[in-house]
Amino acid sequence: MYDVSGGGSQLRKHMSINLCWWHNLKQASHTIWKKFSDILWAPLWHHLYPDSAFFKTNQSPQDELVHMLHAASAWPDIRDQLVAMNLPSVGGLSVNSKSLVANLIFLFDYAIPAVKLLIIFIPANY
Amino acid sequence: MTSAYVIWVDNYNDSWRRGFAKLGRNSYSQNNWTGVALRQGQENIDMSVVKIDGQIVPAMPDDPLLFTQQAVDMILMGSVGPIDRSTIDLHNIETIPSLYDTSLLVAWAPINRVPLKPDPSNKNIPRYYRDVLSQAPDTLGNFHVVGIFEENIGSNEGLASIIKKFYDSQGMEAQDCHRYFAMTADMNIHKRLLRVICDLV
Repeated sequence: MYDVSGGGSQLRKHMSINLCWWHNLKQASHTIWKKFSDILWAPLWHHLYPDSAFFKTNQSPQDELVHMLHAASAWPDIRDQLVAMNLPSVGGLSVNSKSLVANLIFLFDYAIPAVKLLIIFIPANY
Repeated sequence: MTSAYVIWVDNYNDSWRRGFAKLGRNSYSQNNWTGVALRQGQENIDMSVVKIDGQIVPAMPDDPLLFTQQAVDMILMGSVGPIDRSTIDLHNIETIPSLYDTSLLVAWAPINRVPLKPDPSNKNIPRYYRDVLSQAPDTLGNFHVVGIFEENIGSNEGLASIIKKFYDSQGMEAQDCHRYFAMTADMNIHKRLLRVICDLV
């Protein structure tokens, strides 16, 4: 199948293969969930639902999205405090804590907002 | 102008496997069938082939990662408007403008449906997007079943067989094939198809 017959180039002449739109969202959510589960999602899960199982790689997409949505909605309430803690001039925090704060800022300011309907933003000249 | 549609393919019988406690479970767990459907477009999109100097412009580039830079720029630009790329170092978050304040979550608030979907009656959403959302293009009304193929698309042989069926039935081999086709698939199928279509081994 993966030969050099030229079948691939013949096929892509007329057909484009796309990841299902829902799967783009799902894949991005999975990546964020997995990457930040140790610092946020797992502790949050166990705080909200004591004695229930947390799945780092096998959580349902709906579970992931609803928790991200609500956490992101709460972000403005804690943002200023965390950004202030992340300033180089602020002491008193261990290296691990500083790293944790920086990761949370990245998660809410960049990672979660980057998951969006990219297709509607494609300008005509691209 | 020909109407646009997207070909959808996926393993068919996952729900059947879950539905059976014991009877026939092994048969259904093998994903021996593939469901095929067409998702109909809501707007008139010209799918006719584009030619430059008499040659058809391919539906896909040779290198699927060719536009990675543009995709990254669009993620940034979509939220904060035109950007000065020279001031941004993607390895240094201090140089990336925050995406949160201009994200859809804030700009189109409140968004609280799961799966995520903005509310078409929300006046914070620009009129064009509200109109598109109101059309509900993702409903089953625009989803037309073609059939169930007796092939396991999870196997390379089944995948090749199904693609060949499309290729032949749509007359893509003919010199006068005058339109493009779009196919959507899940992660596993998409990844394997990319390997074939773009000769990524």
